[in-house]
Amino acid sequence: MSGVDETVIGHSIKIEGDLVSNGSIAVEGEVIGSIKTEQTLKIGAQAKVTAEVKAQSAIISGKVEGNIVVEDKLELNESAEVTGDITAKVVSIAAGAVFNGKCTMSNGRKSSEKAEVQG
Amino acid sequence: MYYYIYDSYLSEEKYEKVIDRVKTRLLDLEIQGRHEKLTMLKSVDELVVDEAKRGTNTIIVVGNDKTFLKIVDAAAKNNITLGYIPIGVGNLLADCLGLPPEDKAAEVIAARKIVSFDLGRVANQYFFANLTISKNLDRLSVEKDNYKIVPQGDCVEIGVSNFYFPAEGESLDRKMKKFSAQDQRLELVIKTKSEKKHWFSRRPIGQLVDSVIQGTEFRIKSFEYLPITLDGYKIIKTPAVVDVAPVKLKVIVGKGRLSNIN
Repeated sequence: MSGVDETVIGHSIKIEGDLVSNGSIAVEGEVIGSIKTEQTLKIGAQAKVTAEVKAQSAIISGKVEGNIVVEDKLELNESAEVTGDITAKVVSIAAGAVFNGKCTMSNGRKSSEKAEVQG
Repeated sequence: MYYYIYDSYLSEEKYEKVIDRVKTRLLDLEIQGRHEKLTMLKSVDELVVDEAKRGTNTIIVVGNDKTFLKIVDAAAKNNITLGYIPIGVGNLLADCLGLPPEDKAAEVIAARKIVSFDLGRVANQYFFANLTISKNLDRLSVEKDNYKIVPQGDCVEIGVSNFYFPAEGESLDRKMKKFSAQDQRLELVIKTKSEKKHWFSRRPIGQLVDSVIQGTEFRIKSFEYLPITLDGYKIIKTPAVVDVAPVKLKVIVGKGRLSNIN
C-alpha cells in the first residue's frame, strides 16, 4: 500500500467528476464523468459507469457507457454491457457480454489491427 | 521526568488496587514521575499546555482509548510524546499499539520504543483515529480533487480515518493492512448496514465497510449544519475541510503492535 492509492467505490456511493488514481480502482457503485488509473480497474457486476475510461488494464463485469482506453489487457466478463469504443493491446470478450462500439487493438507495433464487433 | 495523567473514572474504588500495582511497577522500573487526576475542573488541554511550559516532553495517559484520544490534539500541538497505560476492557486502540493492560504496560513505557504517527486535521483540531458523520447523509457530499462523492440510500456512516481500529468483533487482519497511519494519507470510509441479522430479532448486526478512498484532503459539504464526531468525543459541524496534519504524534508502542506499524 505504500505510495499508491487504492480506491474502492462501493454500491453505497455515487461519484461525479474526474476520478483519477495512481493505484488500482474497484467500482461496484455508480460513476459519472471519467476514470483514469495507472493500474488495474475493476468494474463489478452491479456497477454503472457513464464515463470515459483510461487504465493500465481493466476487468469489466458491469455496465459502461463511454470509451475505454486500456494500455494492456481488457477483459469483458459475461455480465458486462459496454456501449462505446474500446482500445487495448489485448481484448478478451466472454460469451454473453454485450459490446456495442468499435474495437481498436494495438500490439505495440506501428501497424494496428482493427476489429468491429456488434453485440 | 514523566508526567502521568489519570482519567477521572479511575477514582472509583474498584480501580484502587490496579492503580497501586501500576504505581509500584513504575517505581520498580524507575520511571516514576508526577501524577495528576483529571476532574471536571481540570481540562486535558490546560494540563498538557502547562506541562509543556514546564519542559515535560513525555506524558503517560492512564485510562482507556477515550482518554488517549482526548489528549492527542494538545500533545501534538506541544510536541509531547505520548505513552498509554490501558486500564479496563475493550481498549482496542491499546491492543493495536501493542500495549498490554495495567501494570504490564509499564514495561512497554520503560522500553520506550517511539513511533511517529500521522494525524488528521479539521477546523484546526488534530485527530488520531477518525471523524464520523452518521446523520442526514443524504444532505451531504464529499469532494476530493476534481470529483464529488454522493452517498446513496443504504449508506449509514461516512468517516475519514487516519488510524483505523476495528469495532469489537470486526476482523483485524486483512482490513488493517489497507490502512496505515504512517503513509501521509487519510482514508474516506463509507459504511453500510451489515446484511447479517440477529438470529431472533432479524435486525442487522453492525456495519460493513463499503467504500474506501485514499487522499490527503477531503472537503465535506452539506445543505445544512450536520454534526461531525471527532475521535468519538468532540462534535464540530459541517462544512469542513479534512486534511493530513503538518505535525506528527510520537507514541510509545509495544512489541505486539499491528504489523503495519513501523
